[in-house]
Amino acid sequence: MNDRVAEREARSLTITGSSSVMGGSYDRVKIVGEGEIVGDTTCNKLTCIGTLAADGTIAGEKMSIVGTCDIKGGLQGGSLKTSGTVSVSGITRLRELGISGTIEAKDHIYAEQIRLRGMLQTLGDCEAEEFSGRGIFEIGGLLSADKLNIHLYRDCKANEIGGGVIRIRRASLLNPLSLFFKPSSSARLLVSVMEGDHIYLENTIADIVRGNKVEIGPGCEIGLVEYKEFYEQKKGAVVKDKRKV
Amino acid sequence: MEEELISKKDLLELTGISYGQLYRWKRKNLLPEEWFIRKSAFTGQETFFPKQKILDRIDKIVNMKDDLSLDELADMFSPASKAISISMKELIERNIVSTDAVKTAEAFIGKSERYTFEQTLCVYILDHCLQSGEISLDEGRTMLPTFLEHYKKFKEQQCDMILLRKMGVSVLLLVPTGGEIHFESGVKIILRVDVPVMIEQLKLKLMAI
Repeated sequence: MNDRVAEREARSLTITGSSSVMGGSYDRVKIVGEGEIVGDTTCNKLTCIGTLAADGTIAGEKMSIVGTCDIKGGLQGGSLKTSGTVSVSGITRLRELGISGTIEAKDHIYAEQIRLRGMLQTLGDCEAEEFSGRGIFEIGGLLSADKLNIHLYRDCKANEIGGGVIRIRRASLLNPLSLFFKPSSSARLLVSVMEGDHIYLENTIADIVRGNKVEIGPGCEIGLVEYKEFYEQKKGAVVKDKRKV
Repeated sequence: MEEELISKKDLLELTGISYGQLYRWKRKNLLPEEWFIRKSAFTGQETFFPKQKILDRIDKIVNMKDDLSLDELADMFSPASKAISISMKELIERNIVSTDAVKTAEAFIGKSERYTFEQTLCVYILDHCLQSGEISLDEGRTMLPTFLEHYKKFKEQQCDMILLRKMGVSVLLLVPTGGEIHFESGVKIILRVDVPVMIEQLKLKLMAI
């Protein structure tokens, strides 16, 4: 019967308190309290204040999560804003991803735009057209973005980084975010291989950096730099080997 | 069939593209993940590519990126079947397939006004084989049902179709793309068709209006 109703018009789902429901197609899903969704779910709008556990895939156009959300399947759709904790076991594929809390993924994360103000962890790759990070990330695979702008607050890690313009800087104390999230002065980025067109680095420890125009700023320890057009090494940077290719 | 590899550095040098473009195309799935072969070299970890494939692909992307968006290009290169329907008359008129191939194929894929991408692909491959002059119409007739039944079993349709002949008896088989195979003496490989390449060619022809 559910199917027939869903065909006519998508209904809304509201859980207040504690409940377990079947997945399906909904217009709005709102969870205040503790909710459990069994099966895949598609919706236009998802709001979760509290706890949500889903054993399937969640697809939503506009999602906002305050609290905890545990998704066993994948996560896909338009935008997700979270100031809580989201863990995803499948692939995450979104247009916009705003993280003020934590996202933990076991698989790849793909998005057009990623704005990180909290923590991002993935065992797979993280790909975006634009990635701006003021926070912490740990990426098991490749971090790839056309524009990659990172301010280091704590130690960050990625196996590989690749893209167009890559800027890694120390976080400034003057940023409003620094008022309640104080950047550590010893925050480092650890990466094995980094490749990009324009690269500017501070506080980065890398084995190999390859690029067109490469600037190595203070606090860097780089094994090998390969550059094409331009190279500059600032004071306080350690570069073992460099070559023009 | 050891493929010749090219390192990322040499590739960028040779084609004149930048790291940014390479990563962007990878993100858009214009370059398949399995072409990125990681090997450790004396300078540390390096990425290599199958030379001929990546050069062909980059050449196509560079030539067509002004006319098509990256998403349209990705759609063209993806081995997934496109949701289209096209009339056989148009296919013949546009010289994509020959009338003979259509007539032979009709027995297997059914006769209809409009053809789906999969049906078109069958006719296209049959036509390609017949045009090469290597196979007979009879062999073409055994080829089609075999192809139709099995090619989808390969992940992303990454398979080669091979026709063997020994003492006048022909055998048709499908193997994973690029897979190495060896035979007893006297067996001759008549034809080896790279299916993903055919899919790409067909998409290209269908799009060129």
